[in-house]
Amino acid sequence: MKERDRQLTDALKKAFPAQPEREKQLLVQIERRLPARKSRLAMLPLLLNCIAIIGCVSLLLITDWSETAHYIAYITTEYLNEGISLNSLDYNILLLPLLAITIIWLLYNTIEEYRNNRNMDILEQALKQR
Amino acid sequence: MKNSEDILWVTRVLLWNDERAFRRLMEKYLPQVRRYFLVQTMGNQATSDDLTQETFIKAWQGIGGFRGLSSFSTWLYRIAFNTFMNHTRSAAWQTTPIDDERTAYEIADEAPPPRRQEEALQNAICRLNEKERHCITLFYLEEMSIKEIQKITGYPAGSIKAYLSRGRNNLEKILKSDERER
Repeated sequence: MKERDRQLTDALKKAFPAQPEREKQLLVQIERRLPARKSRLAMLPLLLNCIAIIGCVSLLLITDWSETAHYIAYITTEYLNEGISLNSLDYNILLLPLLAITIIWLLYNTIEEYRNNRNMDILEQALKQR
Repeated sequence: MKNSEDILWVTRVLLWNDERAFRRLMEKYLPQVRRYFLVQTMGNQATSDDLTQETFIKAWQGIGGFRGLSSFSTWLYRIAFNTFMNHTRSAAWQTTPIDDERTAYEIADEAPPPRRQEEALQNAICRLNEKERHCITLFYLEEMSIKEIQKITGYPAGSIKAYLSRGRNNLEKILKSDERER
């Protein structure tokens, strides 16, 4: 900075001096007026649930259902005709109900999480209005 | 180093909603932001306080929008600049001409007793046009670079240099003519 510029800076700082007392009061006022803001971490469970649901749905979509249907039909026929034991079942078949239960559980959790967040917002608003 | 400290506080605000961290940022920048508004509002303390409050509340609400691409102070001044521009656009705003006998600082309740030279400078800066005043304040009072001023105001670098040069000359002229009158 040139000498002339430095002089102007110093003169301006003297012309508009700090007012510590007033600034302190203002700081307290602003702190009182700060609206409640939800932490980003509070949204984490909701986000994780959403990711899990997307994962499960994608898994369901990429599954070859015609192959699975044939397999279920084959197992059912075999069981009805010869009464095969559970040991001979392909355990992949258990993936289906497991996936379905997981999706239902995740959906329930997500809805609950969303409702909780909404209730918290309403509560915060009510407290602020008081 | 200065900026990394700010980013640390911003991260704490973002992750843990830490009001104490935001207080640290306010303690650091409130005097500067308020002083910026004091110059822009021609020393109107009440309006400056309101605008400062608005700026920090907006910063608190929108802190997630701070990407760290510029320094925190540049981001904050951009909010302050926009807040002031919105304020001037609103119907309520009317520029009150400064009384030659009393500067705006004197009118204020908590006025430090200004000396003649400082008083003259307060008057002179209030008589500059808005763009010159913005650039002079940010460059000289807040000691920002042309690049930072460009980010805050959105004016092209060439125009900022022109406003600074014109503002400086106008300040000189006003101060000289005031001196002659006295």
